Parts: sequence; C-alpha cells; structure tokens
Amino acid sequence: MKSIILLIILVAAGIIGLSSALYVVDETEQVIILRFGEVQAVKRTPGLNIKLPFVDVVVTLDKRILRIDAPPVAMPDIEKENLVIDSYARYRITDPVKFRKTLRTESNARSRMADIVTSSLRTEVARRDRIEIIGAEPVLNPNGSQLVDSEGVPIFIGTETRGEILLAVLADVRGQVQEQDLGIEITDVRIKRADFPDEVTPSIYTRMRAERNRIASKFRAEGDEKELKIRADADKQSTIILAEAQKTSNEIRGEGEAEAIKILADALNKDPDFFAFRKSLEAYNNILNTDTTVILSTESDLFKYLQGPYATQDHGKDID
Amino acid sequence: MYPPGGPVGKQPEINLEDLIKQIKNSFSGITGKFGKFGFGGILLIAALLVIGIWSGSGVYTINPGEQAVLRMFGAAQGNPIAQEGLHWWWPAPIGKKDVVLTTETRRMELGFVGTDGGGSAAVPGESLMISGDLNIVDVQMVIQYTIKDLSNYLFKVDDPGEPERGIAPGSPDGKTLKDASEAALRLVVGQSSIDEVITEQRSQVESETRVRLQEILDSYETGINVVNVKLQDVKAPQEVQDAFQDVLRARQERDTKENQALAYKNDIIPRANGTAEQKIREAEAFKESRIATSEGEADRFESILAEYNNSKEVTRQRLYLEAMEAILPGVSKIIVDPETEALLILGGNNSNITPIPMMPGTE
Repeated sequence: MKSIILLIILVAAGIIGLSSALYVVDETEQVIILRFGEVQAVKRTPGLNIKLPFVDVVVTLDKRILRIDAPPVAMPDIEKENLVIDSYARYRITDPVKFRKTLRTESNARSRMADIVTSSLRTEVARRDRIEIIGAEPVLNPNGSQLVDSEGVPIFIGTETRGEILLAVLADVRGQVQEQDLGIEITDVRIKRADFPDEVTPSIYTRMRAERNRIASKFRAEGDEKELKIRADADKQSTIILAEAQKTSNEIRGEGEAEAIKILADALNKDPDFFAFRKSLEAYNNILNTDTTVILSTESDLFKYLQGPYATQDHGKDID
Repeated sequence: MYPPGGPVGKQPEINLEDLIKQIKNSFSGITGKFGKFGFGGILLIAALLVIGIWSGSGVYTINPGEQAVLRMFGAAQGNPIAQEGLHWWWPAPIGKKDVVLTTETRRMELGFVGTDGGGSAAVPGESLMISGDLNIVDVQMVIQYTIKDLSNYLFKVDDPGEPERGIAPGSPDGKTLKDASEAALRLVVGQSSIDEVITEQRSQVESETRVRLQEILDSYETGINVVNVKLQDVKAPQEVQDAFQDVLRARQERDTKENQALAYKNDIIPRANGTAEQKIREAEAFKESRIATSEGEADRFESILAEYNNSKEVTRQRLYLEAMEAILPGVSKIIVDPETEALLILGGNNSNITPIPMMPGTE
C-alpha cells in the first residue's frame, strides 16, 4: 500500500515538474525566457521546449501583425483647412527583448505608436493641400481653366498623392522606431477616413446644392433650346414644302391654261371670222336680258321680211 | 491551392490495440506485484479508460468545403488538410486542430448593417466620404470573400475581432478587413468624382476597390481572398438629395421636351408633304381638265366650222336668226322704221336702250 501512495506521489510530482520544465511556443507567439529577470533565451519558432522548472519564467509576446488604430484627429493642411483624418497602422514585434524593454506591453505599444503615427501624419498633411490628400485633381485646359464635361461638371482625374503621403509617413515612422530602438517593424500606415470637420459640412452641402442647381437649370435650358430648334426646323421645313408645292401647283395650272388657250386658239385660228361671229352671238345672248330695251330698225336683216315676203335687195349684200 | 488530399502532415496511424499492449507491458511490473484483482488492476483499467477517451477525442471530420490546420506543441504541421472524411489528430495538450469552412463566401457590409427581416440600417459614419471633387457621397458596399490560405488566416494577423458580426478575436476578417476595406474604398472614391461614383463608373470603382483591398490584405498575409466588391446604395447625402433628384428630373424634362418636339416634327412634316401632294394633284387635275375642256371646245368649233364651210351662207343666216330668236323674246324691243321716224313702243320698261347692230358682221 505504501508503494501505491509513493507511486501516486511520484507520478504527481513528475507531472508538475514536467509541466514546469516544458513550454510550448505557438505558431502565433514568440517567447522570452527570464531567469530572475534576466533574459535567458528568446524562442521565435513554434514547438515544445524545455526550461529550468520553477525558476525560468516564460513571457509570451505576439508574433503576428498587430493593429494600431489611431483616433480621428483634425489636421490642418497647407491652406490651414482642417480635415478629420482617421488612420491606422500595422506592426509586428521583431525583437521581443527590445520590445519588452521599451514598449513593454501591446496596449502601451498601441498608444505610443498611435501618437507617433498621428504626429508624423500631421506633419505630412500640413505640407499638402486638400486635393492631394483626397486624391484627385481637376483636369485643366491648355489655357489653365478647368475642363468640364457635357453637363458642365469639372472633370477630375485620380492621383496617387495619398499613397505618396502614406509612404512618406511610413518612412518617417520607421525612422523614429529605428531611432528609438523599439524592437518593432511598422509594416503599413493607412488613412482610413479623411472627412470634412462637422462645422464645414453645411457649407460643403451648400456648394453641392448650388452646383446641382446649376446643372439642373442647364438641362432645363437645353431642353427648351432643343425643343425650340426642332419645332422651328419642323415649321420651316413644312412651310418650304407647302410653298414649293404651291409653286409647282401654279406652274402646272399655268401650263394647263397655256395649253388650253393654245389648243383653242389653234382651232379658232382656222376661221377667225366665224369665231368672231359665233362668239358675238353668244355674247349678245349673255348681254341682253329682260332689263334691256333694244331699238331695231325695220330695215335690218332680221326684219327684212317683216314688210313683205320678198326681201329688199339692198339688204344682206354685205354678208359675203 | 492545395491538391485534394495533399500533404497530410505527420499524422501517425494509431492502432489502439498496439497502444493498449504497450501500456499493458509498461504496467506489467506493477500488475504482477498486485495480482489480477489488486488495486493495480483497477488503476490500469482506469488509466486505459482515460487514455481511450482522450485519444478518442482526437477524431474529427472534414466536411465538404472545410480545411483543417493541425498544430503539434504549437507548431503548424505542413499544409492544411482538405481531404473530406474522418481524421485523427493528437488531442490537447499535445495537438491542436482548427477546422474552418474555407470555400464558403462570407460577406462584410460597409456603411450599413443588415437588420433582421431583410432591412438595412445606414451607418453614416462609415458611409459618408469625400469624393475627388471634394463633394460628400454616401456609399454602401458589400465585400464578399473566402479564405484562400488557411494557415495565413489563422497565424499571421492578430485582430480584436468584431463580436457584432460574429467574428472571433484573432480572425483577420474582423477589424483588419474592415480597416483595409475603408482605406481602399475611400482611396478609390477620393480618386473619382461624385458623378463617377454615383452613376457613370460604379463598376470601375468596384473593381478598383477590389484590387486595392486585395493588395492590402495580401501585404498583411491575411489569407483572405476578396471575391467581390459590390457597391450597394450609392447616393448623395440626405441633406442634398433633393438637389440631385432635381438634376435627374431636369434631365428627364429635357429629354421629354426633345421628344415632344420630335413628335411635333414627325407630325407636321408628313402633313405638309400630304398637303403638298394634294395641291399638286389638284393642279394637275386642273391642268388636265382645262386641256380637256379646251380640246372639247376646239373639237366642237372645228366640227361646227366644217359644217359651216359646207354651206356658209345658209348656216350663217341660220345661226344669226337662231341667236336672235333666243335673245329677243327676253328683251324690250323698239322697232323703228327709219322712214316713218315714229317710235312704236312694244314693251314696258324701256329705261335701257341698247343699239343693236343693223347688220351682223359689220363691227
């Protein structure tokens, strides 16, 4: 029975001792082994390791890319106009020992680095104008005026100036980190947001509204212009069509008249005297009506038989 | 990315019987001392039971679309395992396994949050941004992504996670993805004008954002593959919405006016053509009828003339007398004998006295 208890004690002691002598470095971690505060070893590769039980202390640090989230800060640009810039950075701990000496903890590193990133960004932003920070510039005509599209809106073209700003900030921050020997590597600095300060926003909205109103009235004027042009053109064409038709019509009518006259005249010319005779008779018929009184001589041809069955010889001689 | 059933790490085939035999042998000394019914026997059975349960907990399954990354004492073992089916890996504290659905398309919303019941609520802080022409634009975006490298996804990036989206700490699709998405989207929008973002070049903004976002994510080795970036509701901010709507209205009014004018044109010109045709046809009809009338008259004259030429004297006389016969009954007549010099009034109203030629053909 004694040996059983002994066995249990032995096993328990073995487990405790073993667990104290062994430590695991995870894929995501790096560790420093401290012996009485003194750095004994740095392990950056994952796996099972042995240390002096109860004496060596394991300090675990992250090996992954870590996040620095700088708070949004109003920064004046070169024209002293504020933009609220929200930035972030990423870093990783490259030298755990230095990191432990200088920044000590991740939360401390976060706030220290956020300060460094913000101040570096502030410096860089103060050298640039708003257009460079936002990232697009107006396209200019050769004469220096802004190029506009068909709607009268200025055309902008994207630039890589924001990238340049960030590269400059990254270089600056890296320099400071190196100088202060912080044991970290800044991998990236980015502007997450760049916004107008709240107090500027209403004036931006006013400008946007004015610009839209301008575009809208341009559209409306264009509508009127197009309508008037098309209608005027249609009226013009219609008038021309009708006038030309009138012209053609008159020509045709004239031709008809001319031909009719010619045909008739050709026929009548075969005996102008007979025509005159007949036409005169017709005319008398039309001229003389019930309102007319005619004085007729009994010596006229018409009445040459009025006074006897034999006509006086001197009448009608002129007929031939 | 990984050949199906590819390198499977160091995954020892565990034969449970061998294991029990080994354990039996190692304990045989003790069991010998205590005999078959002793305390040692109970201890052995208990130990076997514990070991059995422990090693049984190492069994896991890989479902379609899932991958597993294995760790032994914290160190990753080879490439992720993609082969579907039952697997075994050392349980804690020796081994660790992460089984993750990698092919599933996940999504992240930016500028709005989907609410229960299919609606969505805007997040103005995220959605309002400055466009390149220094206007403010309201952009809502959805990012769809998968995991393309599970080892990187698990081991390369720390992240505070986003519990509201169900992202656990440590997964790079939490704050890391969100930060990068905002940075990429705002960079691209900052390079475009508001009109390009709202209407003309949405798809270009989408693809540009996708490329930028992927670049950032790759530079952090997140193992995330951005499948798609979709702009959702992209509009002018609420405060100036009416002015933007008015532009749309004005554009439509312009088009309407143009169309109405074209309709007028399409109405009036064919009508004019019709009227013109009508006029010309009328003129032609007039021409033909005048010619026909003339020809008729000419024919009539010619035929009469032919007859007249046959017997001139008689015809002339007859025509004259017939005409007089037709004319005189209707008129008042005063017949005078020049020799008597007396007027014989035959008819009533004699106000108009018209001389009539004494002889036909003498005028």
